[in-house]
Amino acid sequence: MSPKRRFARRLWLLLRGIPPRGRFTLVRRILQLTILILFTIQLPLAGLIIEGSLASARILRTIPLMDLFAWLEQTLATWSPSFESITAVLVVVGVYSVLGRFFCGWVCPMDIIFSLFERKLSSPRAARLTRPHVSRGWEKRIPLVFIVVYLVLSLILGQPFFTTISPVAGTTKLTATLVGILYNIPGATIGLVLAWTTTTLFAVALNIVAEHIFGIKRFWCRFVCPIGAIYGFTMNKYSPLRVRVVAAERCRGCNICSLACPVSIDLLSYINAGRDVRDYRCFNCGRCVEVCPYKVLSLNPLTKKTKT
Amino acid sequence: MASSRLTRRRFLQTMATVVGVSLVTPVFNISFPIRADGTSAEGDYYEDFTIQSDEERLAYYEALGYVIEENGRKCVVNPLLPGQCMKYTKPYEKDRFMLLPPGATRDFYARCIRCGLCYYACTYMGYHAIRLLGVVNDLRRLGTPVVDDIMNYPCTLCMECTKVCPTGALEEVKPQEVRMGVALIDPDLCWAWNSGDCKSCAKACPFGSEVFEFTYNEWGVHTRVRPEKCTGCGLCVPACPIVGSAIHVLPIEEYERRTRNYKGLGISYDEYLQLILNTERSDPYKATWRTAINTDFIMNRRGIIEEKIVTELK
Repeated sequence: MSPKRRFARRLWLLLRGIPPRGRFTLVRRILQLTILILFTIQLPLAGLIIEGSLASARILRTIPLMDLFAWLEQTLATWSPSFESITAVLVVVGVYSVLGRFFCGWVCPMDIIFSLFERKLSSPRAARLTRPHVSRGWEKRIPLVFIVVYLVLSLILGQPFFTTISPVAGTTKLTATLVGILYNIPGATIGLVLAWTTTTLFAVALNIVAEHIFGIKRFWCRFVCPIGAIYGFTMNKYSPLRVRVVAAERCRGCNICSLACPVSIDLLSYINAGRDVRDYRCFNCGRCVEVCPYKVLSLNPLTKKTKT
Repeated sequence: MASSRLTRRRFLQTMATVVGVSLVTPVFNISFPIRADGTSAEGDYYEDFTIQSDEERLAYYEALGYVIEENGRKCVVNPLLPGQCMKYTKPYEKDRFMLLPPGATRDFYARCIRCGLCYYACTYMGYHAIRLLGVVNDLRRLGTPVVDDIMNYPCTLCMECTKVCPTGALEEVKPQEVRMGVALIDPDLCWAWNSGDCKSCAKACPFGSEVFEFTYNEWGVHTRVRPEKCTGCGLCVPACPIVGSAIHVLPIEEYERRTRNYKGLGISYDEYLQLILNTERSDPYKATWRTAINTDFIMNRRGIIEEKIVTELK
């Protein structure tokens, strides 16, 4: 194999993932990278396609978008949301009412970074929160507690708390600022680059430590970050896009779907009960669907259920 | 038994985590320091006309009796206020404030979600008036926009940033209604207050004679700013012919604080201007020496860019 082809092969493996990943992961990575690149090159494009960051953006200079949690925080800090921000947040709520907790798996740039460092499969003998399980009790309340803490802090400090230090919006702002150095005085942007690199690395470091030492998969996404959690607790309850059990009778109980799940949902319990996956942790990444050899699960809302 | 579960391996793991996390956390210092913006100790932004090491000038002013010693340093006295040193506002680089972008509401930091849209809007226009604050400035204001390089990029009041702001932190107002700050002219540095004719700041101002008013007397044209009309855009600052600019844009609180006790002289800004006008009317000798001292300072210490003076007397 020539060095050129070897490099191309490596790039392909990076995109595809090891062990091999299916079509959902490919589409997911392409969408995530496209969004990140569009945010990154917004200055050369003069904001024609998309401008802003993941806290608030504007598509084609007309459609305003605003993160639900950022809106909640600034509303609590001021008690008088502007009309435009309500429009912007309703667009986002509308989109994710259809797509569920789609943001975390398909849009958020942190997902690419986290997936580079995660264990690809979890075994039934793994640590407690790494192996597939049904979340209940204290575990389910932790993200709610974090949401409440952030909102109360916003209220007390009188300014958005999590949104200020959020690495989610920070990553898009970081990459856009790195391109922006070509346009601006580098000295004026170095503080920003430092700040957002630190927040991003903090989240990544926390995730790596939690997974490889304490055995908790996706610590940041499941417990700390409120942006996806708020979609998970509300929109995942009723969104049409969800992982559906279409042929429970075909299941052989190999449990590979649960092992592949990045947030350790116990999918086997859903399959045995024949219920759709309504777990607040599920961000519709489709990993379980694409690893299943018997096509028990489906992400397509139009697939018919086979009768048993 | 609970104690037997604490193995060496677990202990090392926990300690490594604690060390690792605590290495990264200083940046996440949650004790957000709350500090007032742009206020400073009295006198920080002024400098004296010190002539300690300048033998020639020392002899010259001593012969006139215009030298006093203050804090062990010899400086030129203000002819209008005997016993007080002549004080000048420092150059813009040392008297620089972080102004909020145009249309900023009172609860700006509560509304701003740090999305950066205003910064990108300003940068698309090929302009860099707005920049975002980094972590070196203040964690509380991380990622919020400021206008702080007025000397190179004064705000042109294009209002593009207010159009993109989704939260209403920057309100869409008319350019005349913007209140980013207030411009303050130092009458001891201003060329019009010392030589009689210069209207560079008024010519650069987008609202011209609405904001600037002129007093005419036999000493020439004197320029003043109407604080209730000034938008604080800062277009006048780079237009000033004095090196380091004689007109500075201050945040409103700082403006009020500074004008109340102007230059630490014990009188307000308006009283000081009135004192100059009265002296020019009643005591031409003192007024002449005041302008002579100021002109000496401007020409020989600070410098003047003569191309910037817009004059009508031709």
